[in-house]
Amino acid sequence: MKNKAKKYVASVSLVALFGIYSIYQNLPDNSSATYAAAPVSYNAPVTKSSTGQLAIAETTTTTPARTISSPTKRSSPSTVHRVSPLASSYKDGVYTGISADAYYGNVQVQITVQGGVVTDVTAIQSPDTHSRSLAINSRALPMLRSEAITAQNARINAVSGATYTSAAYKESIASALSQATA
Amino acid sequence: MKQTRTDIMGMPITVEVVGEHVPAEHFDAVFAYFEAVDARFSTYKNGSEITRINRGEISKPKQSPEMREVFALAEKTKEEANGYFDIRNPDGLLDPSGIVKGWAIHKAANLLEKRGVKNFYIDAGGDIEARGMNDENLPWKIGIRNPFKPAEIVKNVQLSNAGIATSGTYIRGFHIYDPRSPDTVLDEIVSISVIGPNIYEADRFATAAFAMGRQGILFIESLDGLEGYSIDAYGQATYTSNFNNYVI
Repeated sequence: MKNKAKKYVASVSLVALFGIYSIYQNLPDNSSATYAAAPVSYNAPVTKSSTGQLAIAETTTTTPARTISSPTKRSSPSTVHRVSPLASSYKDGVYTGISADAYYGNVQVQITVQGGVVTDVTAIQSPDTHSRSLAINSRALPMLRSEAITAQNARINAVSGATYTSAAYKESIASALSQATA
Repeated sequence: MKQTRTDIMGMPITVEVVGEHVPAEHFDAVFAYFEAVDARFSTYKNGSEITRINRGEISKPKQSPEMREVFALAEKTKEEANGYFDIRNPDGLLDPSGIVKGWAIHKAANLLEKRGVKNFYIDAGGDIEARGMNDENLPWKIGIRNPFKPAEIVKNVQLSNAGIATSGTYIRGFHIYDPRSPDTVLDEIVSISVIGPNIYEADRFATAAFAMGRQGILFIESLDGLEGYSIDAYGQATYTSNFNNYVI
């Protein structure tokens, strides 16, 4: 019974966290979440540099152009984010969630609570990444295209997406949060 | 007719067959197959064959034909993906789940077709194999989920006798770090969807391409018969040259 109550608290907290997060995400000053940029379309011939690294040369672009070969330099990762004004108060500390099955591998998160609120969520285990060098046998003149994503309204039969990975993250975050409320 | 089960392999599995009177045994056969795959390949089940192999309880000659098949396919994929696909974890244990899902969906689709079912799709956790036509006698219409807003669709594609798999993470805003390189933030590509001749091909290459980050879509472009749509942390999509052939 106690466990059930804990689980309930964890789920409610989690829903709250995601709710607040989605509001946070929609704040205009959060650049990483603004994806309504003007549509960019370009044909990008791919070339191979002497180091064997693939690069994309942009040929035609409209304004806020972004090349896909050069990752935008952003401010170095900070471990503390905007403080989420969660209603409930958590005990300060760093909590590690369970390692949850994302099917392609495990995910595990660590949350930091400062002043009773969650200030950071970091994945300490995630189901991807190998850092070996990549050699690609390009087929003749690959032409990648680019666009800003936009919502669609057609009637569809099914949806493709990586839902369970997200479920695994939620599971791990929930377990970390339940420790913070214990 | 459509049936969904949420208690197998840790993800929802949906089977939709065109028609009003589809015998229940067709659905039962598909779900029973997934249960058998889960029982054999789940690293979370104490008595599964893969867990027992990892504990050293089953020697190579005693492995099941299914296990050997999956190991061989994983090895092939590792080579084709230039090492960006590996079922051996850093801790040395084998976890073939990255290949088993697509492989199992494809096999389940074959099983259903052998039973005389022609128009259907099987969706396991967002990875889909579509055969024949939908109830409007058109190719199956599949949406690609918005990684920033899971209730929203950002692209509609039509598929018949093909598969689509999406690899990625839907956690945004929080930093996702590469555990082996803590200074690297993994927020460049948030999802990549790959369409292939079947879900086995689409799934294994979606997994490998996602691990490649921004280079992943180029890798898909380099492969014949595969098209891809990747979305970065800014909501900018990059897609392969013939992807639009599938777009509705």
